[in-house]
Amino acid sequence: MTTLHLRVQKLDRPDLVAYDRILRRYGAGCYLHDTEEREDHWRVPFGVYVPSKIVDEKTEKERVLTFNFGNIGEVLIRKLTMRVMKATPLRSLGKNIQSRRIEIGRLVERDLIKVIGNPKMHIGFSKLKYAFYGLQPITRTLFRLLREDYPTYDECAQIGEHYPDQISLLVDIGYAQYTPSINDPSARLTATNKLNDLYMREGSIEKTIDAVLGMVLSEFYYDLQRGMRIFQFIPYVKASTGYYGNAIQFGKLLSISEEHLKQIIREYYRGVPITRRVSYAYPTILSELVDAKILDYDGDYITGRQDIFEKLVDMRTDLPIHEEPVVLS
Amino acid sequence: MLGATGNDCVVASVQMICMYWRQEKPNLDWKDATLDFGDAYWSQFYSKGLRYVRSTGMPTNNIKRFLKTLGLPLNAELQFLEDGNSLRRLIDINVPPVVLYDRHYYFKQVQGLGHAVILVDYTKENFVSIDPAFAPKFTFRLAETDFLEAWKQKKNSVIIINPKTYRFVKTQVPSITLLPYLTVRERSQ
Repeated sequence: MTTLHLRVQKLDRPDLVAYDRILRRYGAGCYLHDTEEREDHWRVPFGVYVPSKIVDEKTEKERVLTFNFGNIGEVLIRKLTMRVMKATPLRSLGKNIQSRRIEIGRLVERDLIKVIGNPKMHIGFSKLKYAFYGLQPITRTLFRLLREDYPTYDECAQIGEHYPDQISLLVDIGYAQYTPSINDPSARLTATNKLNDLYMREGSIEKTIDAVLGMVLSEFYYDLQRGMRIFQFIPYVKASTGYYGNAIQFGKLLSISEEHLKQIIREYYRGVPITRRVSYAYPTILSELVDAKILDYDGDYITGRQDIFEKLVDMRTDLPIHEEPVVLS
Repeated sequence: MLGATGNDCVVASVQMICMYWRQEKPNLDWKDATLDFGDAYWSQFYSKGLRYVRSTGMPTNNIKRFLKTLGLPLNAELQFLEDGNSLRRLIDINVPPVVLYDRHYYFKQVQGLGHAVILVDYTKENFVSIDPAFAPKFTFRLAETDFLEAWKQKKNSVIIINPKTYRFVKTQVPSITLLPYLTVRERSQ
C-alpha cells in the first residue's frame, strides 16, 4: 500500500459545498451564482454552459460554441450542518436546459418566419406542397378573388368547417373584405385594392398567392397551429430553422449533408416529437424547400440563401452564446 | 492521446490516465485492458465513456461508476486542493491529476465552461498540460499565474485517478484560519 499526503480545502463554505455537489452530480459545465443567505440555510443558484458543436461538412470546419443558461438550478445548504439539504434533481435540470434551448429555437423561428414572409424575398410557398394542402382555403379563395369570382359567406362555409376561419385571416391582413358587410346575408367576399395592387406588382396569380401566403404565415404562424390546428407547414419551418439556427451560430452559411441536417433538426427540436411520416419525408421536404428558394443546393450539400442569412445574422448578438477559444500555436 | 471538444474532454482525460496507469502498473488486475493501445478495447473505452456524459458535463460520480463497470483497479476521487503546491506534489509523485479549470477565463478573463486537462509536468513559470482539445499537438504550456486564477474559478478542483493500492492521507485546510487574528494580536502587543 502506497501512502500519499494531500492538502485539500475543508468543505466549510456554502459555495464550496454547493460546487462539490454540482461536480459530483451534474458536471463541470455548471457555474455558481452569488450565494444568498436565508434564515437557516444558504441558497446557491447556479447556471450552466452547454457546448454545441457546429460543423461545415464541405470545408470540414468545426466550431464549438457555448450556450450560457443562467439560474437553471439551485443547491440549498443547511447552516447548522453545512450539508446539502436540497438540490435541483438532474431530471429537472435537463428539462430546464431543454426548455431554454427551445426558447432560443423559437426566437430564431419567429425571426425566420418574419424574414421569409416578406414578399420582397420572393419565396415560392406554393412549392411547399404539403403546407399548400393545409392552407387550401386561403389559396383557393385568393385564386377565385383574383379571377373576380366573389363567393358569399354561406358558400365559403358550405365548402368546409374551417374555410371561413382561414378566409378571416385574409380579411385581417387587409387583402379581402366582405361587401357591403359581413352582417349582411348577401355580402360577398371581394378583393381589396391592396390585393389588386399586389397582383399588378407580382404579375401572376401564382406569385401573388406566394406573397400573400408568406404574409399570412409571418402574421399568423402560431395562431394557425394553436387556434386552427393546421400543422402541415411545421416540418418546413423546423427544417429551415434548424439550418439557419446553426448557420447563425456559426456566423456564416453552412454546407451540410441532408442526413446531417436531419440530425440538426432532431437536436434543435429535441423533446418535441417528430412523426414517423415526417421523418421519412425529409428528402422531399428539403427538395421542396430548395424549390421554394428558402434553402439551396451546394453540390451534394444543403446550404442557405445569403440574403435570408444576412437578415437573420444580427440576432447572433442577442443569443446567449460565446465561442470556445482556439489556440493556433 | 485522444482529441476531444465540448463536454468530451473529461472522458478523453480519464482514458489517457487509465492508459498511463495500465503502462505504469502492469502487475495489477487489468482484466481485458491490454497494453496495446491500438486495440479495440481502448476505442470502445471512449465510446462507452461518452454514455456517461450529460449536457452539463461528466459528473465525477459517473467517472467512478464508469471505472467500476469496466472493473479497472483504479479509484477516482474529486478533491478541492489547497493551492498550486499540492498540484506540484501530485506531479512529483507521478500521480498526474485531471484538473478542471476555466479555459475561457484563462484566455479571455471571462467566465466559461469548465475544461479538463491532465497536468504532467511543471517549470518555474508554467504547468505542462496534455489537453484533449488541442489535438493533434496535445501538449500545452499553461502560464502559472493565469492558470492558477482560472483554476480558482473552478474552486481548485481536481479528479485524482489512482490505483486502488494507493492511500491518500488528507489534511483539510479550513477557509478561515486563526492567522489574521494572530497577526492583529501580535501587532497590538
